[in-house]
Amino acid sequence: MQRYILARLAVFPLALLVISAIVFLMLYMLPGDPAEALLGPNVVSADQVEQLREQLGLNDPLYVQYGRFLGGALRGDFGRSLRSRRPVFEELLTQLPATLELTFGALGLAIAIGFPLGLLAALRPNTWVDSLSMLIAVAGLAMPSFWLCMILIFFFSVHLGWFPATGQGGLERLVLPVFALGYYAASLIARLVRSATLEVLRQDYITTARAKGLAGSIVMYRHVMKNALIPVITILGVQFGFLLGGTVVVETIFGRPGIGRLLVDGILYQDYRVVQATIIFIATGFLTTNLVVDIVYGLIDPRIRYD
Amino acid sequence: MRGAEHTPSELPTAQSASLLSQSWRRLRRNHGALVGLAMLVVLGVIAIAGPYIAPHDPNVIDPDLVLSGPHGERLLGADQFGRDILSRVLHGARLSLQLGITTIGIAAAIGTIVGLFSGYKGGWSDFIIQRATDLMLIFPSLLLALFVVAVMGPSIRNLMLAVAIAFVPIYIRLVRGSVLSAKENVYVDAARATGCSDLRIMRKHILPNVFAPIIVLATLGVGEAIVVAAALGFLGLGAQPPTPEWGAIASDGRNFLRQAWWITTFPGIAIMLTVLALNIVGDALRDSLDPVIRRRM
Repeated sequence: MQRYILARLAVFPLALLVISAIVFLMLYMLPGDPAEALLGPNVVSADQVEQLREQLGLNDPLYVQYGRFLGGALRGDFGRSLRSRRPVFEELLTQLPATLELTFGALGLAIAIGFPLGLLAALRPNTWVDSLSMLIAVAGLAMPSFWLCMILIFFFSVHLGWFPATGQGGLERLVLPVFALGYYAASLIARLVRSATLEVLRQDYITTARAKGLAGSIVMYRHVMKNALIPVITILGVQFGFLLGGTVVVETIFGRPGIGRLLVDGILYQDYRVVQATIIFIATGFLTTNLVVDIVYGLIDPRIRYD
Repeated sequence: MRGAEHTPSELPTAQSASLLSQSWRRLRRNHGALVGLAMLVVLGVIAIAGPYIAPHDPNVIDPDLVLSGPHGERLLGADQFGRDILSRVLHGARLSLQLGITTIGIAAAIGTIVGLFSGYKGGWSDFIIQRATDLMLIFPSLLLALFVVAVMGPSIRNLMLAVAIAFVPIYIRLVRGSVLSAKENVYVDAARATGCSDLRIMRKHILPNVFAPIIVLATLGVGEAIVVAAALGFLGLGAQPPTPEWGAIASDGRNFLRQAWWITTFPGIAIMLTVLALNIVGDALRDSLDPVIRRRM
């Protein structure tokens, strides 16, 4: 286990290095000249562009530029946004709380809905309870998230006027985005819990527990639920990643500030420094969650051995 | 217990029946799957015939009909330019299905070739390919596609490439896993002993083992790809106006939710039904091909 954790920890900076190199090279694959992009439509002369190229160090060899980029990134210096003229890292940090609020809310909701739904379906297999639960789950998988966002806004904001449609701050502005983001994950979890529970119910140790006269609720809690939870925890890391990715859509539609929207705006306005920084930031987030989940997984389920 | 339901004439003649006919027999018993299949057939017909059965030109602007609701002439209403929503959604069917099938086709093809090579050869190349796959698998497909679009710029062609690239690692992983177990078969040794080349062994003896799981994953994948493409279209990073792509049509209605719910609602329903049908059929395929997949996944 220790060796496994050490190996994973060693891969972590390596993975980040590769990602940073790709992100850095991205700038060179972009159509057009970064200096011209910086100056925007008010390019006056070729001289001016050349001057800016020199100033930005764009005439240096590639590895020198990459070294400079990496050094800056390590210190949290990704340059200034072309649009807002503010340091990109500062902007990221201001947007972060809104995204975390949304993502954790959605994750909590997904577990709160998905787990009982899957459990219920598995305990009453092939009944209307099962069918209804799985219908809810399948609908969640088939609905594109941007569409769900719009439908929610239409019904609950425009029609009923229960929640404000856009903006951030306060619980009433969080409900709809969290639901829009969490429903898909809830569906995945429900399906997973259903099949995991059905699998557990078939095990010999459940029969043993029942045969020795253990109360039904104790069997449920101590044996069924605990074991059905393991696959859910395994995919929590992946889920968190999916939710972070989903914020791109949800934040844009609900007009919320956040990392996802920062990325989309960065792409739309060709604000390449913002794009670079956001991608590295998100990648670090993913790598960290995956690492943590892998380790926690090993601690929770002693049957798992990493060799 | 199961065998008791069979009459002697129905007893498995599995040895002679092909994998395809076996699974078809199992699929036929699943009524949900048949409904899904029927939905897919209808969708396929619409995708092919869409441009011919569409009542109007999807891009024709009519100032008199701006934001007019569903009525006799315009069954699903008109958008903010007076364009017929029904015609746009019908035209979009072809585009969306094309997008989904092409991208998954590219992804599955690349993934199969790379996975086959990686699993069969092993060693250093396998190690490097697998670490790269690890890295790509960390990112959700929507974000991966978004990164690619960020580099190449938004357009339909780039969108297809972006979504295809985003789905490649899943197929690499799947195929490699299947190859690892398939290459341990005695008949592979036998083939090698008779002097078959590596290429022939891969094609004739290993690839057939990998097909079933790929088909299942691809069926589910087309739906996912359609949703990712639509999401990018919705964000303005995929199909560009006035292309009648489902995500882009839904996006048109974004600022008119209050006055014209139909612009967004109908393309969304179209996506939902498509993905639903693909999911039902994919799940059923997985169940009917189960003996093959259970061993490998």
